[in-house]
Amino acid sequence: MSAQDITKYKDFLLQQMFHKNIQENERHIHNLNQYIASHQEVIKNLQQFGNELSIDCLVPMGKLAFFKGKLTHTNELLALLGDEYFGKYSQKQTIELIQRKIKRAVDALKDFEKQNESLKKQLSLAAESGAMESQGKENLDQGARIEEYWDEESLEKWKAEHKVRMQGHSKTPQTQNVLSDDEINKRLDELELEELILEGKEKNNDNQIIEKKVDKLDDNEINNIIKTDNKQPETQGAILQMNESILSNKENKATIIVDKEKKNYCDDSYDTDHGIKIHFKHSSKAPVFENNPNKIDSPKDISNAFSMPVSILKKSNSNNTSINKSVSLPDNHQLPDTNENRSIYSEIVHDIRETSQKSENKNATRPMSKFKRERKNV
Amino acid sequence: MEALDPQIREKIVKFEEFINFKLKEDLRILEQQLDKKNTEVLEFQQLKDTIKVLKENKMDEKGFKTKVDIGQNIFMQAQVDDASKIMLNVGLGYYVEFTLDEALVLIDVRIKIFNKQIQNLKTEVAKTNAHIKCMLIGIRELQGLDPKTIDD
Repeated sequence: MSAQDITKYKDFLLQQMFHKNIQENERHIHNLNQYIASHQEVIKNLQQFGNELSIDCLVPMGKLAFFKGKLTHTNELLALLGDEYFGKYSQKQTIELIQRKIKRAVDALKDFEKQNESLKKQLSLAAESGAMESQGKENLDQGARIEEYWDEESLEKWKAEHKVRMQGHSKTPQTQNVLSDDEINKRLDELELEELILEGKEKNNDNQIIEKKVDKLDDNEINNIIKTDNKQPETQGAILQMNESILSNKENKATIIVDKEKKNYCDDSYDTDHGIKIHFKHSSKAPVFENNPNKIDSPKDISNAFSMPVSILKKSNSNNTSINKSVSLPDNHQLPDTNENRSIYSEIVHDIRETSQKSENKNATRPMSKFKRERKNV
Repeated sequence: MEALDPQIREKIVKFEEFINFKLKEDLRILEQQLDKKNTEVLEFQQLKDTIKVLKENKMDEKGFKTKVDIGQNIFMQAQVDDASKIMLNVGLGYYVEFTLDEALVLIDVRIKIFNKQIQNLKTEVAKTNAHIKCMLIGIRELQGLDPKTIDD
């Protein structure tokens, strides 16, 4: 049985329980209504009997026979008090007794009706939010009721697992295995070295750019710059397409280069190093909201195309931005179990939720970059 | 169990369905009817006894006092002056006035009829039980025998 089936079954059981309770309540309500009605009938009859000394009636003998007779002593009644005990009452007293009984029944009826109402409300609310039919609705994050049960032990376990998962995500989405401290340090050194080399190359390119004003560059030269800039083979195709769009739209030229540079070297020091000033402005092109990762029409698409492989050295930076985003949209997250290919974004949101829950005890709510953490530990 | 001819297996399933959904259902209905008749006989018997008591105590002449349920277990005293006549339910909610002696005769007849009906029902129940037993024996034979020796 898959997890989906189990939740489906759970929903089904829950729904059935609700319906059963409602039905039972309705039965009670029906019975009480009858009880009240018959007692009111008795009061009516009693008042009528009280008007006369004797009334002709048919005296029942068992269920099958009657005798002709008459009711006498109309102000003298025997009322069942319960458990086979009877009390002798006058007509007035009997009516009072019956009215007390009716009052009690009405109170019970109100209780049942209230209960039924709340049950129905719960059922309809659940149906609206999709908690009852989670299969029918695709967007779990739209008002779905999310429940999580936890205890200290499972929470600790989850935290450990979550840490491992986060480490896996901070590198490449594919590598799931955990690296030891030594390996991480080694990798860190490698990356630093790589960055130094990149910076060196970059400076050469910068010189080229400095030689000519950005807005007067030939398309071919732009191509050259972009190609030499490009250290990520998987983005080649996107860049070629981008070049085409440059040819067609000169307006976008400066922005594209800026985007490219920003994506590759997002260090704050970079801009100050070579002293180029780049002015950002919105392109004249109307925004197109298409989710085609291979097609580039606007600067936004370029940003999308290149935002995928982010250097791990920039992790803390990107973390912060997404945290800000997530704080403003706290409801927009998904459960880790429900989504197999969850994004880093949702992971972060969970992390934030986790830490904010625990923030009373611990001061460190701000997520730290992995490397910063490493350095602190060492 | 040995591998049975699929045809026979199908038959066995059919037999079992017949037992469970037809014969046992019949039995249930018959028993309900029997119950109903028994209670009716009991009621007539009680009425007969009451009338006898009334006659023994000469109440049919003097009349008697009783308590009448006027609803929800509240009783009021009632006086029957003329107890020589009684209204009897003759079916479908119709009541006919009889004298006590007539009523006794009628009640006797009714009880006899009911007893006969009960007898019939009892034989019906026995028959149905027998059918179920036969079917069960038949199923057992079908399962036990070599399918080749059975001719439809």
